[in-house]
Formats: sequence, structure tokens, C-alpha cells
Amino acid sequence: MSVDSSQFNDLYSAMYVPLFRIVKRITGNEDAAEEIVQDTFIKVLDYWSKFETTDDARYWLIRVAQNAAINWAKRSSKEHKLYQRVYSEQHVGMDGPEQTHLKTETEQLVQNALQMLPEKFKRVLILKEYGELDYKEIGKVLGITEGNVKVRVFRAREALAKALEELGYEVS
Amino acid sequence: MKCPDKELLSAFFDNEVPSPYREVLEDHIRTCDHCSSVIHKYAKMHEQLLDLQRNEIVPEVNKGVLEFCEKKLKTMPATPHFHITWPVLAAAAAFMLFIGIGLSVLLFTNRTNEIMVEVKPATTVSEYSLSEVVDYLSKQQNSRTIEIPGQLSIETSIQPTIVREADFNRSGK
Amino acid sequence: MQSILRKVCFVLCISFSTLAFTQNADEQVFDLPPVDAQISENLYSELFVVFIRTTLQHPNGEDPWQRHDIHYTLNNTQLSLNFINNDAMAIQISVTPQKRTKDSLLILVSWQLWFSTQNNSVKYMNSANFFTIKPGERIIFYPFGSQKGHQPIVIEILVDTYEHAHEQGGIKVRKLF
Repeated sequence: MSVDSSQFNDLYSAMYVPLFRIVKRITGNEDAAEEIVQDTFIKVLDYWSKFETTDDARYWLIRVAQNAAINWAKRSSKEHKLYQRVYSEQHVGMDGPEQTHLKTETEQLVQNALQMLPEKFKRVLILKEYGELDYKEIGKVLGITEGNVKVRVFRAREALAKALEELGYEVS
Repeated sequence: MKCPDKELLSAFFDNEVPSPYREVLEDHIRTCDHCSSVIHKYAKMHEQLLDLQRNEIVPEVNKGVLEFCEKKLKTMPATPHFHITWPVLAAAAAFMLFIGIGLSVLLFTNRTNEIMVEVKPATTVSEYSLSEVVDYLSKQQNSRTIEIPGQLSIETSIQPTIVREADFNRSGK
Repeated sequence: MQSILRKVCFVLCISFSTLAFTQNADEQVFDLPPVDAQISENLYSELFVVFIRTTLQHPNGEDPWQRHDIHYTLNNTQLSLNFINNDAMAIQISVTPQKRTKDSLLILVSWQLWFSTQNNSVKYMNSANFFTIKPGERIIFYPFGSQKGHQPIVIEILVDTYEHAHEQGGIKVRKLF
């Protein structure tokens, strides 16, 4: 794409909120989400002239932000498990790296259930529910076929329902 | 109509089933308790997932970052695209065929995993200068150049070494 | 006795976790740049990612200069890279990856090296090697030898399939030193 700041501005305005939401769902941390999103926009500049269309830039942004969020969550999760192991007698109320202040018990359950999902299911469900992408777009972000996306979304939903049941919440 | 796979119901919920199949499914779901309960379950989970962000406050767009990005864009030169054209691919394929034939010959005579070519000592070149080499390399089609900064002083008797990571780790270097 | 056991467990936990952090701190993940639109998505199964990290050590103990580049090439298609220091040397490295089995790749690495000597003459060397590597493994090239104090440049060449790198979320590279 041409070195044109108005195209970049449009992309920044359009993608800032969806990216923040996707990253926040994965990290559970607002500060980390903001930092990761800003970093990703700065990174995209290095490759700006290589994108043929704004859509290519959009898919790249989502993919890179998602990877950064997952890496952050993995690192935080390791730190948190250390604290849990060492202070296991002093029960810490968190189940994961979340620092979100959720208002209801149901919201807490849903957040926990989402964190329990295997990574590839979590990725695809977050993109569908928070990124508002269709199957074709999700396929482009994740580098998989539409057919694979359809199967993964279905399995992610089944896994989420099962996780909610395990946490004592009846979905249907 | 027999109940469809739940996978299809999930795709239907996401508006990913094209017409006319979509309409057929809609008719079925309207009259089937099992399928409508599956759709209802997906709708409920969707609501609950969205609820997580209902009270969320998204930080405002960071104007400082935006200004930084705009400034950076203005100072960037346009980068030429790398094109893989069919003649280049054909030439590459022909080159590989040549290498493949050579490799097959070597393989019959040498059973080791790595085919090593002995590095002969450096020869002195008098026909051209280093700057002519640099000029030639930079003009090659699809060349990618990495500039190494600083002043290097290179000894006359050097022994280039190349090794696989697995062997590098094993040797403890 | 219980308090001693608890202290031992605490120390062990800290040690293992530190080890885990160190392992992770030694590993970097590099994002994949966008693939040129000229390469159709149908060809992605034939696409390779080549990650190159060039390190220049300074004899006076300063932090080394380092740069990384990521390029794409297709199965059986040569990728050529030129490393230039205008006053001292030029290296051309060509990498041609080929799929073998699911867990192995055959890579042809050929190189040419020109360098200036103290009496301003130009010397030339070249060679070629085949390597069988795992996807994501590196080949490490010391163009001026690997003897300590005499090896100013190290060139790491990591080759992976695009699909494998994409699945991993990028190129994963461990520290060499």
C-alpha cells in the first residue's frame, strides 16, 4: 500500500476497539491489552508497504495482536502458578492471570470457562464473538480453511458448554 | 427432515449457511424442539460472552501513538514488492533439477547425511575489486542485501565454518 | 520436620520456575511478515520461511550489533542474500529448502565470500553443503571461522515451513550464546 497516513488513520480508528476487546479477552488485563494493541499498530508500520490491501493489514494486525496476547497470558500464567504453588495454603481467589473486576458470579464463571478452553478453540471463539469476523476472515487470520474454522467454532462452543457445566453452570 | 449435525446448526447460528439451505434449516428448526434448543444454547452462550464486555471501558485512542505512527509513515520510503514470476520459477526449477542430478550421483557414492564440500583455501583475485563485487551483487535481480556496519579487519588465513544447530549444541560450543 | 520440608519445596519451586523463566527468556518469537499477494494461498503448503540473524561481535566487549531478517521462498526455490561491508567483505549465501518427510527438510546452503586483505588484494572462497534439519532448526555459519576472538560475524539461518511457523504463532528462536 502507498505510504499514506490517512489509510493508516482509518485502519487505526476502525481496528482499535475490536483489537482491544480481543486482546483483553485473552489476557484479562486492561493495561496489558492497551500496551499490546499500541505495540501492534507500531509494528504494522514496518510492513505497511508490503500489504496489498487494507484487509491484508487488518488480518495481520489481528493475528499478531492475538499471538502477543497469548504469549503474555502464558508468561503471566506461569508467574501465577508459582505463587499458587508456594502459597497454596493461603488460597488466592484467582484461577488465571485475570485482574478484571467482574460484577456478577455468572460473568466470573463465563470468564473462567473461556480461559479453560484449549488455545486453538479459545482463539477461534474470541475472533468470532469479539472480533466479529466471519469464517472466511477468521480463516485468513489463522491461516486455516473456512471448513476448519467451521469445525473449530463448533468444537469451541461444545467445549465452552462443557466447561460451564463443570463449573456448575447450566447453559440450556 | 432428519435433524442436521450440530456442526451445521453452529454454522447456521453464525449466518454461514447459504441460501437455499438456510431457509430449509430455518423451517426445520421452527418445528424441531431438539434443534431449536441447540440454537437457544448457542444464543445464550453468545449473550454471556458479550456480557463480559458490556461494562468494559475501552481506553481512548492514544493520540501520541497516532502522531508517532503518522510521522514514521511520512519518513518511510516505498519498498519494492518481491515478485516471483513464472520465468524465475522455471529457472529455479531447472537449477534444482541440475542440483538434484548431482546429488543423486553423490548419494550413490557417499552415504553420509551431510554432503560436505571441502573448503579450499582462499584464492587471490586480480581481475576485479571488492567494490565491483558489491556493485554486481546489488544489481542482481531479487537480491536482498544486509549491510554490516563498522570497520572489520579480517585475517588472511580464515577457516569458515558451517554447522547444524543440533551439532552445534552437541559440541557444547 | 514439616517446616523443613516446606522450605525445601519452596526452594525447589523457585529453582524450577526460575529455570522455566530462563528458558523462556532465552527464546524469542518473531512475527511473520505478510506474504506477498503474488503468492497464491494454494501455494502456502509449499512455502518456506527463512529467518536470518546476523551478529557482529565487537572485540572491545561492547554489545554486539545484531539484525534479523525474514524472507519467504517456495519449495526447491533458491533464496539469495548478500552481506556487505563496503570496506572489508561481501558474502553471498544461497539457501534452497526442500521438503523431505513431515519432520525433516533438506537444505542446500551455498556461499561465496570475497574479502580485502591488508595489501588491498581481494581473496575469494566458496563452498556448498547439504543439511538435513528439523523444521525450525538453524544452520550456523561463521564466515571467518569460529575461533574465539577471531569470529566477528555469526550468521544464523533458520528454515521452517510457513504452515509450521504460522501454527506456532511466529518464528521461535533460542539465544545462541
